[in-house]
Amino acid sequence: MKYHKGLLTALVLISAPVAAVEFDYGGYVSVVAGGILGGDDSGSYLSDVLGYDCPCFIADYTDVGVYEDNGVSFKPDSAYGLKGQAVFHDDFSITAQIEGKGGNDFKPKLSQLFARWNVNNQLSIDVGRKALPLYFYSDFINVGYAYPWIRPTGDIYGWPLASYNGISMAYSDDLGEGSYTISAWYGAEEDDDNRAYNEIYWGAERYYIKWDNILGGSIEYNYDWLTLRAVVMSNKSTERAQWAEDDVDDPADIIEVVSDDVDQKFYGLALMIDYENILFQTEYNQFDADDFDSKGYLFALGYRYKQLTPMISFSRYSDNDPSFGNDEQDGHQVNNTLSYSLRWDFMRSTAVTLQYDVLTDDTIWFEEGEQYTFTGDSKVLAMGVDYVF
Amino acid sequence: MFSKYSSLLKICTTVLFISSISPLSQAELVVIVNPENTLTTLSHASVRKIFLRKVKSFPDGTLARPSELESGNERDKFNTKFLKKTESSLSSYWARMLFSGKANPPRQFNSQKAIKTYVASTPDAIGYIDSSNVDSSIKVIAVHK
Repeated sequence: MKYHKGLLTALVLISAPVAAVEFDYGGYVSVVAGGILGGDDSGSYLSDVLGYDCPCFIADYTDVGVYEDNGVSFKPDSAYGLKGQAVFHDDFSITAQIEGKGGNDFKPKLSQLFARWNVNNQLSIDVGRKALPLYFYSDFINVGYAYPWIRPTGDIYGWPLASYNGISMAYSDDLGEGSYTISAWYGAEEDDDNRAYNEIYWGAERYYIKWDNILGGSIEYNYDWLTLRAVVMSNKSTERAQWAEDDVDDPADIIEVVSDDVDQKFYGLALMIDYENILFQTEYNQFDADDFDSKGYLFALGYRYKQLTPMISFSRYSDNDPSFGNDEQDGHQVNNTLSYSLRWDFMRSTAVTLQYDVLTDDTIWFEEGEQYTFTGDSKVLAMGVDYVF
Repeated sequence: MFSKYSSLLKICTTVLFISSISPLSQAELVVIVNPENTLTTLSHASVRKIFLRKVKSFPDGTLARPSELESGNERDKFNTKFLKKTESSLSSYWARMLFSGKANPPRQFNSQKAIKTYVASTPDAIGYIDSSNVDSSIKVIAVHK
């Protein structure tokens, strides 16, 4: 792909000397149509408690893109993004990116706005707003063209916050025939009306989330056909639920405190092999808080044959969650997703992907004495065009 | 008499040899840098890392500014032989790097002549051209037949 040079090397005269500024821009569009082909919504929490038309399938947790059993929908997986960058000499740049997703009615959201200082040829420091790099695909989670699926599996990529404000550094260098990058970040993120937790889990009037003291680090090693990544992160989490009868404006006044300054820890590992025409990917992550823990993993195997890339993927999410438990036991959200996908790179910078997902929902939740599953089982077929420019 | 035939055989062999290697040598893809660059050779692995922007510098630590062709046989050959990627997998790779904010693709040019001019006039530059276009304005540091 080509990164467009807008106004190439504009000359900004600040008396003397002369400073060269280069402007670049790029973007992406994914138009995806999908629908539910079948499933079982008996005793489903989303159906019975939150009122979704199930069998249903959550394609996008963060922005609440949900396929419901009511025909073809373009919203859950469609997205666009625009990115601009101004580079001042080689040492300093400013990057901004806005993204809009169907789950959020395509409203533009600022996902990146940061300044970068290239301290030297190995070290760079960023200050501002960036994607929270928890998983292998987190940094470009919405860019359909960048991966062989319609979407990275929600069994891993299903968290309520996707960006943070703070400072980060990256150090890259050679390591034998390969190379490595060490990254570290520190910051915070706050959302006083988090749709992901509210509309998928709580059904409250408003749900407030704050993650602060976010401190994370990752190391990535790349050798020819092999990429390995390890990541750790810790933060403090505060969550508050506002119900319809609560008359408050400031999230600090919300009565129901779900968690307050709780320690959270995250660990993740990823392996990616792109050897000859064989693709193999696996990712594992674990999330530990005071009274909540979860695990997610993914295995995917594909083969690149000319312009076609068929893949088969399996992912699983499981947790222990007392907030959906009863007196005897914790609640457990347990999802398994088997995906069959076929990507066709039919022209440069444009790909068509067809994907069929079979979700098995083994969730056991308790709510006011009743036992529920989560979404219920579902089968979903989606087809989309991904374009980058 | 024998020696006369022997000489003739030698000439024929030489002509055959030259004619057999010259199409090959014309098809060589060479990686070029500015003559001021102190490096004399660069491994395929280093070329790959620089062009995929896995590293920002040459092995001696100095900044590297990669440049590539927008399209054409030489681009396809470079992607296959040095980067070991198809056009579509490379395009997908750059989508990842670009939208994650990690790195931008190499600067693109529409002709080998333009790459040569850029490399010849930019001390940190690195590019690739067909060996038939090599002259003293640039320096060859890696070759792939």
